[in-house]
Amino acid sequence: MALYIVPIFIIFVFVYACLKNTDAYSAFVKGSKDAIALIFDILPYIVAILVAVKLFEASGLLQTMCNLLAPVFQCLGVPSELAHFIFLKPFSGAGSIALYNDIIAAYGPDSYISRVASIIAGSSDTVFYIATIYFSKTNIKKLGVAIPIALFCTFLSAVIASWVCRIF
Amino acid sequence: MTAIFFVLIIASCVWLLFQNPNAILATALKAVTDSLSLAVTLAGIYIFWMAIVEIATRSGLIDKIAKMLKKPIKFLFGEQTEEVNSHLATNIAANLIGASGAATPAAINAIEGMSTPEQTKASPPMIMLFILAATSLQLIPTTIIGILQANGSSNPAGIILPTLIVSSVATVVGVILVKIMCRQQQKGRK
Repeated sequence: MALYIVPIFIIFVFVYACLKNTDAYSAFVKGSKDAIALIFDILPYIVAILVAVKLFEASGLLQTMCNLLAPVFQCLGVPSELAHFIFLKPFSGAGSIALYNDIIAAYGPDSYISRVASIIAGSSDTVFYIATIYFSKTNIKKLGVAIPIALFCTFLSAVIASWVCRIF
Repeated sequence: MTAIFFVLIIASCVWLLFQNPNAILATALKAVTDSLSLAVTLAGIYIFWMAIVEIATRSGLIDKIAKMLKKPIKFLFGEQTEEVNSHLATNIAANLIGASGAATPAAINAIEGMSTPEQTKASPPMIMLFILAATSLQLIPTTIIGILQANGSSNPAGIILPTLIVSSVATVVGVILVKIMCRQQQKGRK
């Protein structure tokens, strides 16, 4: 069922436009044009955040931070096998999806660890990446409480996911 | 962001200097190349979705969705211009059905619409939009279900309900925190 929602929505957009006599062809071209301009706007921001994050990963500092904080997670009921995944998630979208695939392959898709990982993967996003991209068309550099709240919510969802999976 | 950028780069480079100084430049250059290929992938996704959204905007479909979402948008973001409201509606609707390719451009445009050129500090409605994205509003985690299915899970759809519970709790907590923190800041300024 879930897999039909997006395709049906796309068909619906075209059918609705047809019924309303909208010039879908010109609209499609205009939308694409805006998208190409947008990509050039956000590209420098993607480069900046990716360079910072990749250096952070390569230096081993991310791993060190994980090792330091793994006991804290364990106290809250989060399996320590997932500490690296939870830490990588706010920094790297592609990296965390790759790690998620490894976890599923290593523990089996129906195991407790994999289910917790699935929920974490589905209930939070790449915080530092969206922080740069969302503000890329403005001059805003000070995000105030935004990142602390976002990180808190990410860790909160990891903790709740570990609890919820014991019930379900 | 500037502070985070400095901390990440300086700490990582100093750390690497003692372990593997060659890795600094190699990693940085690899990251730049990776960003270019990421941008190409994103360009594909955004071009398609922004084209679809443009059609939906011109046919009046987005206006309809915006009307349906008027109350929640007003509660979350306060009074905004009509244009910003339709970007916000697009973002929320796209997130809910799991079309994140349509959600991100709409969010970027909404934040642009809410800001002024000389503004350097994020306003509460912008922080709200960012938190909604960070806590993932998505109703059905299609990517995750796909991966579970590909790995032979006995019940890939079984992940939907627990994910929904966890992400709802995180989203509600996030929204409450934004409301409280931003109110305190405003009081502090007075």
